Amino acid sequence: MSNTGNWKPAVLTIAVLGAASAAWAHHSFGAEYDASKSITVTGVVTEIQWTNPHIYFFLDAKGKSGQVEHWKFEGYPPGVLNRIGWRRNVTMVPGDTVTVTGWRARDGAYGGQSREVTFAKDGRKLQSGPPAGNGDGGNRPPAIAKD
Amino acid sequence: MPRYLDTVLTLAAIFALASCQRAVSRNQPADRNGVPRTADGKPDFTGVWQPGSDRPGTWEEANQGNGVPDPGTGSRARKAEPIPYQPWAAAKVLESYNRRYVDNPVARCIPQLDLGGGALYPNQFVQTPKAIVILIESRHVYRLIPLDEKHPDDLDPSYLGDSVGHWEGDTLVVDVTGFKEQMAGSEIHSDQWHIVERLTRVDYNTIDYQATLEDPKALTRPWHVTSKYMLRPGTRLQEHVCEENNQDPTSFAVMMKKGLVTRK
Repeated sequence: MSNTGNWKPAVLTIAVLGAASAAWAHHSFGAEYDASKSITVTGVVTEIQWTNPHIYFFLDAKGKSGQVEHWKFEGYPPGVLNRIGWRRNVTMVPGDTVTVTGWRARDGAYGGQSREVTFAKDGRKLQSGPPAGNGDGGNRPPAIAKD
Repeated sequence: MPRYLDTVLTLAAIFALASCQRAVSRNQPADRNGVPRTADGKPDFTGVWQPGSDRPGTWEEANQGNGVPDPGTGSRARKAEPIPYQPWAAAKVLESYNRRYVDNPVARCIPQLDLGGGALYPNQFVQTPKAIVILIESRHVYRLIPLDEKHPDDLDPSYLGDSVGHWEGDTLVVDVTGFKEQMAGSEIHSDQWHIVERLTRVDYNTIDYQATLEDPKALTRPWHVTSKYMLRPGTRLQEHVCEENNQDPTSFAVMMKKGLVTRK
């Protein structure tokens, strides 16, 4: 550990805006997902991995030209979902038609971080994942401020 | 002595012991602020709590509307000053930010203290006259806080540090030291990290939380955090084995390889 040349006065302080509480949310949202690419995908659930530290669920959705797209979505861990009304093997099961909102994977694959799921079978809408920017330090860079 | 007398005497002894035990462990009535008291007169922290919230009620009641608090926008109750990093440490955090925190140890399931944040997960306090134990759902870890004891002389550095506590009036003061250094992620610290936490149950629903954090190697001055823990009746801690299906390191590696992570 040593001082680096670009940072001269000792009075410089870094303000990690919004990040102070982000460390406990999604590990690093921005490393995987693009907060500027909101998506809404409707499809049929094919598989659910009800696992820690995140759940994953898979949808078959119809693309613009009619082809089937296989989507993979990430969500909160089971414990967090359970406390906000989700029940394993009840709330979402293979065959359900759902509409997912969230943010797309950085590499443009059919993958995303889910935020909310709406169920066609009963119209129910449930939160399923964190807001964009968690673990990304928000959209603002850390500000350098005078102490 | 007839056999039945033997039995009667044994039963009498058991009853006497049981009622004696009850008398010893019987809690005192709540004080005028509604704070329950243990048999030895201390505020009773026993219960399941949500850190970083200021809304009373059950988990569902308190987290309605937005489901769960939005940690990325800062939890409602947790307030922290900008961290007064020394320049080299500030540079380190900026470097980590520019790599979108791919190196954050939590992405490898490494636990960390919640410091009044982490509102997605409940903590359960278990209190005895000699120790307070905090069971932490997130990453399925615990903190053992012996009361009126010193830190061991031969501390091995650890992720959650070594905690010892004592009562100052109605406030539980916890001294935490003996950390491993953390040099990547949105917050970093050296092995000289030292935390003093002050927890005060101010009413039936609320623990006020204050922490002062010092790090002579990485900070220019002490850093302060305040927050609240709210009682969550009926909430049960669940298993959170982070290693079960942690796909993050692999996904991050794929994105890094494609050159999509580093900020330009």
